[in-house]
Amino acid sequence: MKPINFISHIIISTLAILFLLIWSSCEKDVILELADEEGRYIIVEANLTNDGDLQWIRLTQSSSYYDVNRGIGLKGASVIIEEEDDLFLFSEAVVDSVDGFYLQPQISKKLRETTYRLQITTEDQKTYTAQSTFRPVPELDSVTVQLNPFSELGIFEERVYDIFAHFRDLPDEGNFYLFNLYINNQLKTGRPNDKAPVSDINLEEYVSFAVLSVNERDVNPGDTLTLEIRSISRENFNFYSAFFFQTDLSGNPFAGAPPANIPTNLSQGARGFFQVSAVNRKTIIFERPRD
Amino acid sequence: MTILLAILLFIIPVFHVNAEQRHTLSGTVRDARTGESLPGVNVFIPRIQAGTVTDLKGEYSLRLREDEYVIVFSFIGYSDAELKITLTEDTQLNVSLDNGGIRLSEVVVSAERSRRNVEKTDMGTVSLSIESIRNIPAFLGETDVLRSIQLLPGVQSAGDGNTGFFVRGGNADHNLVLLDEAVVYNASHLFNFFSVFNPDAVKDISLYKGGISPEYGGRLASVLDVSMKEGDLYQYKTNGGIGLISSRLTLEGPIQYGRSSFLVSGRRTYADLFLKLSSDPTQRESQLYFYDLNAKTNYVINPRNRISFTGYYGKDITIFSDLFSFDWGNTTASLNWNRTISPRLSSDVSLLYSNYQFNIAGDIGPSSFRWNSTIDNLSLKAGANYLFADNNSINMGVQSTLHNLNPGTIRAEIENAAAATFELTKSNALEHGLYFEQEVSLFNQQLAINYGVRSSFFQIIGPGTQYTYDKTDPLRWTAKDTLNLERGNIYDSYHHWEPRLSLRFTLTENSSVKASYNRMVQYIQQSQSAQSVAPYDVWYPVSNNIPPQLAEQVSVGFFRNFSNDLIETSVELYYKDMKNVTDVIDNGDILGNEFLEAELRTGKGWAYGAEFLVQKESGKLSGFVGYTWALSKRKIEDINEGRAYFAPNDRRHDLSLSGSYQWSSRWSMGMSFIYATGTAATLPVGKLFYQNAFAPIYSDRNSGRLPDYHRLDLSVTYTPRSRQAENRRFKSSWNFSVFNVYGRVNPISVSYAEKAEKPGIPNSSFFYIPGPIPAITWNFSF
Repeated sequence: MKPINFISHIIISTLAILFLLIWSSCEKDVILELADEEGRYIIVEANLTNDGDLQWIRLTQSSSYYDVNRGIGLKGASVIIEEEDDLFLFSEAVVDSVDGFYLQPQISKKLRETTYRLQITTEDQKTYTAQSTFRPVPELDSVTVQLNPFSELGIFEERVYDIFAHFRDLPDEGNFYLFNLYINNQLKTGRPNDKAPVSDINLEEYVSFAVLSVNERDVNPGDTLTLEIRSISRENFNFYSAFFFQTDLSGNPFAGAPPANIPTNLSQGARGFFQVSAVNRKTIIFERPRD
Repeated sequence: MTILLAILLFIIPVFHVNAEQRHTLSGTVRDARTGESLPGVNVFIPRIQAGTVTDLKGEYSLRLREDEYVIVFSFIGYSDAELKITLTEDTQLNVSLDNGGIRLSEVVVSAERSRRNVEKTDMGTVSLSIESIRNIPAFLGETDVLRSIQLLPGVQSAGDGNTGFFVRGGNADHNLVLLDEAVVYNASHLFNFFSVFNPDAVKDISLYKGGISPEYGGRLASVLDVSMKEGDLYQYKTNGGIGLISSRLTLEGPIQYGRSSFLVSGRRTYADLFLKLSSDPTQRESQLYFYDLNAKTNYVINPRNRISFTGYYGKDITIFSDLFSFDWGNTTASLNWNRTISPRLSSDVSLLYSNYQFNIAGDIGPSSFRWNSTIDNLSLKAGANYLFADNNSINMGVQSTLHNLNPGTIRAEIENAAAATFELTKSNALEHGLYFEQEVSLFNQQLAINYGVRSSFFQIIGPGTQYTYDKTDPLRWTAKDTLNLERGNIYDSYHHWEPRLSLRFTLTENSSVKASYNRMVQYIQQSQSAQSVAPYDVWYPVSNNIPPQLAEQVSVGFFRNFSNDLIETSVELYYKDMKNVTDVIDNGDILGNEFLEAELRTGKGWAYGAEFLVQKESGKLSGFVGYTWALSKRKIEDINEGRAYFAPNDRRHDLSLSGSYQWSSRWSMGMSFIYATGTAATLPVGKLFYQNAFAPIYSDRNSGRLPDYHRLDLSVTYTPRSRQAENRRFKSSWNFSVFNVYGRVNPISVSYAEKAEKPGIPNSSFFYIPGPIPAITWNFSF
């Protein structure tokens, strides 16, 4: 699989909007009869950065599709990350009374441009591994806010502000980035489909465009807006693309892809993703842009 | 090839025995009022119990001893014609049949009726006249050719409300759709809700699912042959209809009385005119419609030479304010010269052109794109038919086609950040087919054999681009080498022999068994981006990465007529083996991707099934019941981890009932009912939770099933009695129809998107066409 090119992204988002305009009234919630079962797969959420002290990995078990839960924590696993010269042990913890967390206080400061190997061994002696290479990230020069040109046309119910990132792309094509937005230090893009994965294929050397947007009701003048850029791998970019296709766009007869598993870099049938990233942030004070 | 032809030509005279003192009786059978040729007319000589049936051009030919004969021409809905002749030399006998003012309900069933299904070697073939298609209740009042064939055994719909179809386990692009011999690349309008065939311009359709004649090639699964109506040679006529979403108007008549005629037919939908009434400015400035125009002219130069020209032009337009515009359409043209060189030899030469294009432009937020794509072909076809005796004929010919495939130029832009112009891989190719078939009947016509072969060639010619991929990671091929093909040079050549064979063995007067074998090869195919064919799916040819697709099919059948041939029944069993069928890898990116081939894999496919059909074509109650038991699988490396999986068209049971009842001369009603096993679908086996969001987890591809499909449609037609009954030319009728009478929710696809009002709660929903949908249409003619 190659990364979803930005052309198909544009085409697909357009087709998806077209679809919603035509079809939105012909949808019905249903409960499918599924041959699903609990605990069949383990899911690894491991996004480590060189920022902050404590790094965490969460291990969960898959559940029945309609089961309402926030992941069934997997207890008693041994979690190790190693590189050529170093080894980091993670220790199990319960965070805000949620289990399945594994914490490591030192790795963040020690991340360097090399390949890291994650190894998870569960209580029943099954081992899952994944690899990720730490790559540098460009510095954000500035962050600006503009009124979305289409929010005036009544397409959206309220005003929408586009958040522009301005930065110099790293040399050579084939760099992939992930953008997050914080308002008053609260992460606004906590879920995969809220984040903005960006590929530099076909991008100008100096990048200057709207990566994320925010609704008027979510932001007030004087609030701090922090834009975060992370370096990610091509596979991680594909992971976020596929997440979007397999959830928000699923079933869309114009733009939807046939159902398929979201790709992973974990072995032995585990799901999720392991990514080590460099991070850069830029904070501004929000002011309403003039129309 | 030349060796084979020589051998075949050498064999032919062996069958050509006892020909002395025999003469050919031939001619054309036409409708007495319209001058239109009539295919399928029974030509029968009761005294010697011999006969034939007219071909698609209404022509027949018999070899008979010198003698006196009474020949009976009979055809459903027409009065029989009995003619006495003394045959002393080769004789041309043209006949006109009177349909007696279309009083279908009053046709008296005569002793000798069409026994075509029992007597012909054809199997896996269904022909429907436009009249019988009209009896089937229509979606939104629009009579639709493609929707009607989906009711037939062995044919499945690509989705509710979708005119795309699958035949005997094949993909949607495995069907060769022809309009007067010209290829129609995308037979749908309005995102597959309607087909491009205007019912007022169509004469009849034939669908070949098996035992396909070597005259046809280039697709794996079927041939759908749509023939357009010819204009009336003797009088001017107008007919049309006004419906809820569209109107139609057809004009026809003589150009030169009795010698040449024209037919022009157009229709346009106008549902979007209501958008103008909307208070929403975006909707007010939006457009959503299609139109099409059919034209045909005929010229009878002399009884031996006829020329006809067919043209089609259709367009779909979708515009959403200044955000988005999308248009697509087909153009076809066919010029045909039919010549009767001698009573035994006739020839056909056709020049054919087909074009399909789409243009998409979007301006959403800071990003915009333009995508223009075209595919066209120009083809020359020449064939000849020679009759050695009434039980021995050959058909041979050649066809050459120049394909231009330009999937498109895409220009995309993100304001201030990126702009790219992509030229998707253009290809040019030449496709040739040489075909030969012979039909002989032996042992007093008890056994009939139709055998033949098609020799197909496909050549990639420059300019174009070929990629070589690094396949180290089987799920992620990356282009490592590019070869630019120079203009005019031939690069890859492919050649295949495609043998075809059909046998018929008569058991009793009204029953026979048949068997057939055919090999089909397909050199160009269509990507399938969504779950059914979409207007922006591009066609691409074979290449160094995509080998030609091959299908071999064997079928056997039992055919029996009851009640003086009033009721026709058949059972057919088939097995189909496919090589190099394509499918898309998991999460494949095939929209506007210049490395499309890297997202596709080829492998094996197989399908088998049993088809049952009971049909009653005339009388107050007419219609058919069809049932199919079928299975269709694929096994492709790198897809579903190499394990076999159900094809998306796999449906175990498929039952369809279609009937119409002529209550009185004023009232008639029609119904159709379909029941089919749910579509094979990839369904979740679990759920993952990641970064505060959930997503489905799947196991094997297409290992689950959507709910069963069923639907009932009804229609009533009221034909008011005109005041001065017989003499008035103006006739009209009202058609009331209801699609999906009991409002069954038949899913088109499943969405697993989270709902804004239920954050964090796993959800699933169906997209479907809500029912019931009533419609009313007023039809008229004068």
